[in-house]
Amino acid sequence: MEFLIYSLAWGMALALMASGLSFYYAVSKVANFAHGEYVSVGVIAYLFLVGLEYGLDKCRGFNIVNYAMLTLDKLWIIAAVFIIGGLVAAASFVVVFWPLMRRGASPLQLMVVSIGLMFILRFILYVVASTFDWLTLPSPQATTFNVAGVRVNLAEVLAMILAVIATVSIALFTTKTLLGISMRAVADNPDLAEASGISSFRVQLVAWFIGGGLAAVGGVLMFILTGPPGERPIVEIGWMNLLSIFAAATLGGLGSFYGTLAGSIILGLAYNQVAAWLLDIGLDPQLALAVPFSVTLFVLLFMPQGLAGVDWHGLLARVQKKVGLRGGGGVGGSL
Amino acid sequence: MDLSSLLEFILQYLAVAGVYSLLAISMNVEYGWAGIPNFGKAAFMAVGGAVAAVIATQIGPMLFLGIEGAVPGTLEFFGRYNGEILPAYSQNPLATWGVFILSAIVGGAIAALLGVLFTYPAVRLREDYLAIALLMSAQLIWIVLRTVKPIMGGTMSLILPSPDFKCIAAAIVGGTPPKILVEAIRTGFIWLLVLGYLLYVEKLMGSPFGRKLRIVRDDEVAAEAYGKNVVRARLEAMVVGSFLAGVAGAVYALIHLRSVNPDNYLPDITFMVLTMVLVGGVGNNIGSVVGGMVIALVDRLGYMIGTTLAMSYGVSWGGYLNYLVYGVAIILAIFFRPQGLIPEKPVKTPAWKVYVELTGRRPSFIQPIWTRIKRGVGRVRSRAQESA
Repeated sequence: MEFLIYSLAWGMALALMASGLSFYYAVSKVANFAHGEYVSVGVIAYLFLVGLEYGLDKCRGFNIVNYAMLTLDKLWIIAAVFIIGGLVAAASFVVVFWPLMRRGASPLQLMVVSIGLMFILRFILYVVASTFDWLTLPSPQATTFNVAGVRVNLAEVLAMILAVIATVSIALFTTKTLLGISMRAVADNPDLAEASGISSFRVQLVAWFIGGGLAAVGGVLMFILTGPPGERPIVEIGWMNLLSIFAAATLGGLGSFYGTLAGSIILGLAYNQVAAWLLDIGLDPQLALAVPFSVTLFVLLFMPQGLAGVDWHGLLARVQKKVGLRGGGGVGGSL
Repeated sequence: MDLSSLLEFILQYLAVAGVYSLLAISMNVEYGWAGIPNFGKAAFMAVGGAVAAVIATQIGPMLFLGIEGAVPGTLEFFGRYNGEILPAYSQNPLATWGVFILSAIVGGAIAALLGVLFTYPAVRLREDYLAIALLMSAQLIWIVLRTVKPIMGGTMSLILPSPDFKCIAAAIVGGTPPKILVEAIRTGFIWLLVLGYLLYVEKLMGSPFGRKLRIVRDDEVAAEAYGKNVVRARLEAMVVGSFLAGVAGAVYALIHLRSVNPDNYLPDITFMVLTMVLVGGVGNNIGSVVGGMVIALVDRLGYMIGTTLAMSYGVSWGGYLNYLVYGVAIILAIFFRPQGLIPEKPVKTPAWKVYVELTGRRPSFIQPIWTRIKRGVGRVRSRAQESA
């Protein structure tokens, strides 16, 4: 049961990061490889803010792990991390991507330039992390609760709550508010949206801000849940998770939020189950990364639209017909 | 620094630049000519390295030395490999060349096969998906090499028998050759390979195949309208590029590093090769070689600056300066010079030779500039006379 909750929380943390990616992908159509660095920015910013609170001198090296324990009174740090991640993403949009998009750069060029951005961000993170000697750290603890005999820690709770809140509020935001509706307009047809008076720059800026912030928060939770990425330095946590993020976003159908949430949960359960099983039979659990990768290749090969592209209503109707029920319209969930 | 150590430094630099050029040319076939963002280049190099490791430890001893091979990752491996097999290789220079040639051919073939396999799922989709799929495949190969011990022996570096250049040098001067001559022959061999790559790719890209790749890259719809099979063209480009990368991977493992370690094949190297192509010239093979030489120099300088920083100022992040340099280079290249230092040139196709033979004059677009100016001036003048 605890393992199930852990896998679920893992998937939800992944969902936070992946929905950040698919949020601005939907508007700007940039496959941003620097997204992983926003995740790492979140982790380093969290450690830095914790250091600020307790005195940076005391937090050099391994000591930070004791202070960085996630408790309820550190929630403001999580909020600050959201803002920092968002600012970094927004800045990278303003400085790098927007000028190139205005010049009519091809998607290929935007993708390549995101790699350059990734390297620069990674260098800055390495400078910060090695100045404070934070390159290799174990994962910090988190407050644990006992809910009906099951031990749950705060990171797991936060991951689940935040992922659901983020998905629902993004969905409401894009359908109910004026800014969200104009965002969808820009996503569908930027020229037409510009012609009808929507500032496509402002809309995209907001999307990048929210996307980067979600990535940073997801990164902090992922760091507390799983610890450092394999034997790699902590700065590469974003990079090591980047491909899982892309896998979740692709499985969900890039640009769909409920789809991304569902895809991440599926991947989280599958990945952790396979990892545990591999550990049981005496193999390296890292091999479980084959699961998200092969899922992505499968999705690209057979249903490039992801879960969002599946005709759920039709599928449900067919199943109901087979079972012999009279299906009512509008029963299926619209993903 | 005296003369001989300076010469040795230059030779070593040229050797690194040559290996990087091989990689850059293979990337140029995919990225520059076919527009495929191959973010999985490291995987195809790793295939070359893995094949080299397997052949050197397990197949080579049986085939070339007549003794039983040793499987990496087993208990008695290091004793047998270091005590028996490596000395046997050093006694038998021909066997080391056998290992190199066999692993280049087999590595190239397997890499070409994997190139098709990895590209196929996403070849019909947008470039983003293709890049993601290739990157994931590369990461998967890396994890498999790390965890499956019998290939490379896990994460410890495995020394490989490098092809023996000493015996060639000895054949030239007799006796024990000076170290500098051995280095020179090694560097010369690498650049011979670069020359071979250049000739092959130039020839290929001037052929109808190369023109097909360019039309597919520039306008997919137009390519289909001309009856070109876009999917097939991309897969063929991947076959050529991956084969070249597989051979280059064998060179990288056996001649450049002389050892294998799965961690040599991180995505960083893919993006380093991509930077070479972007800086040198997208779609220009000479440009790729120039890019390889520039990045090799930058690599060297970055390493020197990093160690100096660490030694004299106690700064621990000097080793990561390369990230900054690559990142800035990529962004500047895309912003200000997307065609690279040496831009792509129009293909010299036989079609215009036929045109010259039939009409006796060159087509307008390759006529020298002064003829075109003269013609333009004449046209303006005659028009002025008409109106007057």
